[in-house]
Amino acid sequence: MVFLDLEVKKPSNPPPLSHISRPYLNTLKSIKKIMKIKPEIILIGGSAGSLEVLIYILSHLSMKYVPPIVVLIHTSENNKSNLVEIINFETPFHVQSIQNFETIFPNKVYITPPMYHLQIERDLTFSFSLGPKLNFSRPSLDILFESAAEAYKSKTLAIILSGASTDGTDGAIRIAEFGGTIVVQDPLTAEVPIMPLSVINNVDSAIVLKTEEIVQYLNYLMGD
Amino acid sequence: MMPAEKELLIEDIEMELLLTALKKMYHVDFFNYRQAHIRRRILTNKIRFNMKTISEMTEKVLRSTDYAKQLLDDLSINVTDMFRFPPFYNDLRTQVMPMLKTFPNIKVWIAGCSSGEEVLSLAIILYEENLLNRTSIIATDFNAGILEKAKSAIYDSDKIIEWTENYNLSGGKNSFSDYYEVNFGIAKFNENLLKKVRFIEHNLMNENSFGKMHLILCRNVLIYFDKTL
Repeated sequence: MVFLDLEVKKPSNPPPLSHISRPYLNTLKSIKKIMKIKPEIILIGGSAGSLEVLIYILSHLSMKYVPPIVVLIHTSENNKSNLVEIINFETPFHVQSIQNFETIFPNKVYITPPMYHLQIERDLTFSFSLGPKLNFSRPSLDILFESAAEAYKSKTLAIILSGASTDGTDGAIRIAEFGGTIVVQDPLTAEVPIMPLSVINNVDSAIVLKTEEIVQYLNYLMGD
Repeated sequence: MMPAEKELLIEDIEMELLLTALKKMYHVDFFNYRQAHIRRRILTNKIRFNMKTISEMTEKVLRSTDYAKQLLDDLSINVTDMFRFPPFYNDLRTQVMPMLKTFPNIKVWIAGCSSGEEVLSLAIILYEENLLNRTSIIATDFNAGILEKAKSAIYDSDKIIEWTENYNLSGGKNSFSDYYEVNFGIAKFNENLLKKVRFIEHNLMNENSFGKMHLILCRNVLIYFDKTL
């Protein structure tokens, strides 16, 4: 299968928010012209402002079969314990937390628990570890994304939503290196644009989409 | 195949060779550890020591004991704090201590004690429950260097604020500051807390246990082992 690199013109300096124009971004129309690679794992990352978007996306997916979806949202410690319940309630998928050594299965939404770094092993099981925070984050998106890239290679799809740090950028770069797909929430629609903007500025092939477009894109990818 | 994938294949082989070197030279076996975790630790060390390839690390491991010790340190590091995750220590106080009280002599083993924060935390709880005098504690780690640090009971004072909060949240009966002194940015904990502790170099994977114990603490060591272990 050939991975077609999308040509993107990237501004040389990060533009002020008001000046971002759509033409330089990969739009939904142009993406549909390329061959679709069905992802074998979908990673969704974000922090401030991402929860609503996440719930919107998960509750509007229309396909019958989804690959495993792993969610890592930085929230304050108090909220994290309810995340599984909230998302389970709002969406039709089987939503669960993660146990160490657990095998990754499709048709499940996995919510990353707090306090430990999470990685995916080559044998497609989850693995927790301790270690210093990376970019002030533990669990770290970068650490998760990089391990996913090495396990699923070009079949990795990561979606980066609204967020207040640059956690996830290095991981997105790694996924792109393996031919995986990076989708970024349009910073103009993001409550906190820092996280998506950082990915756009570092990953040429990043696909920038509004929230509804993310749903359309996923339905397109996973449909027949 | 993308270049990154090809490079990964090469690095996988290099990593296997590095782990083989560590096993044959230093008898430390990381093959049954979680590999993504070990890979990350190895790459962090590689960057820190400015090595170009993992193979370069293998050569150094074979020819430089100093470097090998540094690498082993990096691979065995635990992030550990005093009263880490206070709910655990709270449970220790409220659920476990009442049971331990029923024994005339209490034997405790802390496996994978690292730099000793967990040992001191437990000692403090035993002291506050008036149990320390009739408890003997064995604290083990496979890293001899870190055991020395644990024996010294000396830590950077910048963690004291976080540790104080942990101590209070865990149901501490006194004031955390009762247990240490700070001079020049260094906090030294009361030596009497470690009077009942024997620090022993011990490898959980290779060696046997220490006989009957009333309490064994093995936090955050087993998560690194894979299913075969």
